[in-house]
Amino acid sequence: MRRTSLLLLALILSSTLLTACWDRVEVNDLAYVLATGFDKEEDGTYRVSVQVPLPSSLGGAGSSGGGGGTGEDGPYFVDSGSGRNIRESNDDLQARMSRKLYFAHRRVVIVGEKMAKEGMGEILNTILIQPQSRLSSFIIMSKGEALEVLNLKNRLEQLPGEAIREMAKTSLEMRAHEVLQDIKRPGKEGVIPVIEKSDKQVKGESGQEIKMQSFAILLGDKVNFITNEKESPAVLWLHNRMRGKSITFPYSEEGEITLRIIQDKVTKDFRMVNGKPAFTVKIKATSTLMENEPYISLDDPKIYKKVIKKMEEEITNQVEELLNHAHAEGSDIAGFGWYLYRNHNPTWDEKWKDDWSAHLKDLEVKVEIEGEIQRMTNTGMKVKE
Amino acid sequence: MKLRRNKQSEKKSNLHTDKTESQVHSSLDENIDILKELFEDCSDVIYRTFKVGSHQACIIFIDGLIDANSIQFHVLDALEEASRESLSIEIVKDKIVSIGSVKETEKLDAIVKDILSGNTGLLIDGLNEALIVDAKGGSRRSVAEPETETVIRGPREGFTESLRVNTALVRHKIRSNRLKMIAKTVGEETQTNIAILYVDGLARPELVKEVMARIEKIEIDAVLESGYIEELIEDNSWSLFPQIQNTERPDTLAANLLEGRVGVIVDGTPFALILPTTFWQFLQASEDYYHRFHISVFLRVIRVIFIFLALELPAIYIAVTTYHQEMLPTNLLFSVASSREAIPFPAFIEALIMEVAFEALREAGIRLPKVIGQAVSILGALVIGQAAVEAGIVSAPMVIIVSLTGIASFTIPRFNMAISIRLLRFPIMILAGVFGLYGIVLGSTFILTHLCKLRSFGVPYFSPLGPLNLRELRDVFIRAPWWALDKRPSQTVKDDVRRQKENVRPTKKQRSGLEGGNA
Repeated sequence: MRRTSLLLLALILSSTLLTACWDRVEVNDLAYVLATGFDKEEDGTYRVSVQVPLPSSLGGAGSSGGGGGTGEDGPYFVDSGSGRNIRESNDDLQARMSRKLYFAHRRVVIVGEKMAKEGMGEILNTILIQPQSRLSSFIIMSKGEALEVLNLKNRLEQLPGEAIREMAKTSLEMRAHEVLQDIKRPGKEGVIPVIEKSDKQVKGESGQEIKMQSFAILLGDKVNFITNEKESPAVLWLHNRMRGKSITFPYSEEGEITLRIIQDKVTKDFRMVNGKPAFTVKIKATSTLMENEPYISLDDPKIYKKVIKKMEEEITNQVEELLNHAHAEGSDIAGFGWYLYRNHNPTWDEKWKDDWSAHLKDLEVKVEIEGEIQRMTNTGMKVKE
Repeated sequence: MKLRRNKQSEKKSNLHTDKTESQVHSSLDENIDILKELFEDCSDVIYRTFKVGSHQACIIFIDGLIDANSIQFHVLDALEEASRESLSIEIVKDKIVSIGSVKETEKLDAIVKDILSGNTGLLIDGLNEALIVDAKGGSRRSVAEPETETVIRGPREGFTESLRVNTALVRHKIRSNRLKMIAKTVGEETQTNIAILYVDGLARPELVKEVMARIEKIEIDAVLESGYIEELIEDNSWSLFPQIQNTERPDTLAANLLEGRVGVIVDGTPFALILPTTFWQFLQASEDYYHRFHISVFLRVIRVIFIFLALELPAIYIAVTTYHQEMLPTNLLFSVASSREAIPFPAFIEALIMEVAFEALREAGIRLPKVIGQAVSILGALVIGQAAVEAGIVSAPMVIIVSLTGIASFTIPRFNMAISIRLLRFPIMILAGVFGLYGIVLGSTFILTHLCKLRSFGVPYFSPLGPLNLRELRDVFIRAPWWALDKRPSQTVKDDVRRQKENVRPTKKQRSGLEGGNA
């Protein structure tokens, strides 16, 4: 017994030679990358930019923090490196960093416009392969160069990377693994949010800030087109993300009505018409009346029906415009092809698999909205003075 | 430790080696001479000679150990008033001396032993028997609240240093003839009286036999405290975990006796031993059973969480900040990073410094006089902690971790288990600093395996979680209400398991019976 325990002890002690005591990395020897931007230059080289927070001016009580947060830059800095591929760009960047780049906390990936139009496949591949990277990072496209967007300051958050992330969470969050899934799925295309620079809206202040409003529709791994103002809400409708957002539509000459959506549900119905697939997209939207400029009273069922009709019209317009545009460009963002792949696989394989984009152009899609206003916040009575 | 009898000690006459003179002589003077030689230079042994009728008599006692009044009235006065009839020991014992506990003996060494225990020896010239009168007195500490085990609700009696007082306190709790107390003496020089307590019919007979066998095997010169016995009879002395519980409270001892355990009370110390024990007993406090079960459940859950924290928290912090930075939430990581900017030491060294300083502070705090103790400890913690952070020697998160760990180790009700956990913290910290999270898992697995393997007098140490017994768990992580604790724990009691009648709670009919009728 004693011999066995001595033997065991010897084995364990010798396994210390395998250990990590010299793999020890201090918290202050790492540069935590919060957001990265990928750009492509004219000559085809990649440019990788990183946004790294400066720990000494963040958080931290008591000790020597404090300085560096005044005036210009927040507690972060942006640097970039270029190379023939992404890894080479990283190496170029590391050569100018006193701390080791650490990507495990990178939560936002910004793809520049030029790069996005040429294909994001390589970027997503990098994220997938590297164990340090998180597959839950948000993928966002930027209008213009990613490097410029990374430099924009945000007044609410200390770090712009956080700001971008929070904005994405409220609109449409597409994580890396979701984008990868959508790219690989037959019959469904991915959507990613777009950020752009916009001028500050305060008089007397110049400068630019981040704005996230539109979406980029992909075809494969390339960005196909960017939605305009009217189409952007439709993206949210199709992805069940309209909850908490509002739509405004004109009721009459007297004014507009604003409704806030509290529930939305999307279902697809499928019929075969003359050997061709035909879909009906049904959206059920429940809402609350928020602003009632024409002062109509919704107690009257006739007026209620009219309002609902106008609401349904508005949503239908939005969704139809998006679907028409997308299908014209060949992107199936609602996932009709995916539906066929799952439920009618043999037919899919036979007839539609190879040129689904071409089929999309004359795919018959009907949009049906079922609207409902559940609550009102004002009864529409004129305030008499 | 074996007794080594070297040549030197044989020069002094020791009662135990001297087998020649052990018979009481008829001549009083001879007896006294022998006694005086044995008690040479013992200035507290008093020889009081007097006359009983026509005979010389002598009482021998040790000053300070006897109740003088008792001896005065019941022995001296009684004897002096005795008529001058012929005396024999029987007459003296039966008719004259009117004290409760009286023994007659022919052996001189018995007299010497009893004198040393506080009894009084009565020798009468012409009789070759002597009388031993039990009139113990002297001043001992009175029954007070035990200082190491204070409760909010519950009795405030604690054991004292006198064996008889302690056994009386236990008798108060268990008034049954099934409570047996076996008297033994251990320790050559100290001749300490101990009592082994158990409830006949509840404690397993093999257990009682084993305990007695182990105690009888002890051959040591002194037993000053129950800790001596504890270390001499426990199963695995090398293990860091105690296998025998000690308590200063009679109600704890009584409750454990009624669950089939065996108790050992040692004269001269207020700490009684309870065996066998399991790991989970050290996380139980006696007042868990006196409060309503809601708070007991809450406190027990807290204790389990905090015992884990006390063991692993500094190690987890070291491992995560040194090797696994990706596991921290991003914002927390930035706080930690920013506070560690100016710190010259790596996380592991910093943790070690703080923990060692904390242990030293705690040890020093024990010896501080109570008056300045409070102020110094608060100031010390604040000043040292704050100043160290400001000077940039340790980081603020580290101070938080260390204080949390300290607090966590105080939630453990029993001191001996708290010590074990505190000691084990350091190897786990070292493992974490060297191997990262893998090291913590390794260390914890070792500890867990050891705990499961350990046995305390045959009972597996980690039951009812070790060998899983779901029924018993209702008293481990939670405390089932008293109406649900109707059976005794099965690790220690084999027969006679039922402790309570079923369905004792007031029924609905009974409750509603009281409702009507009141105005």
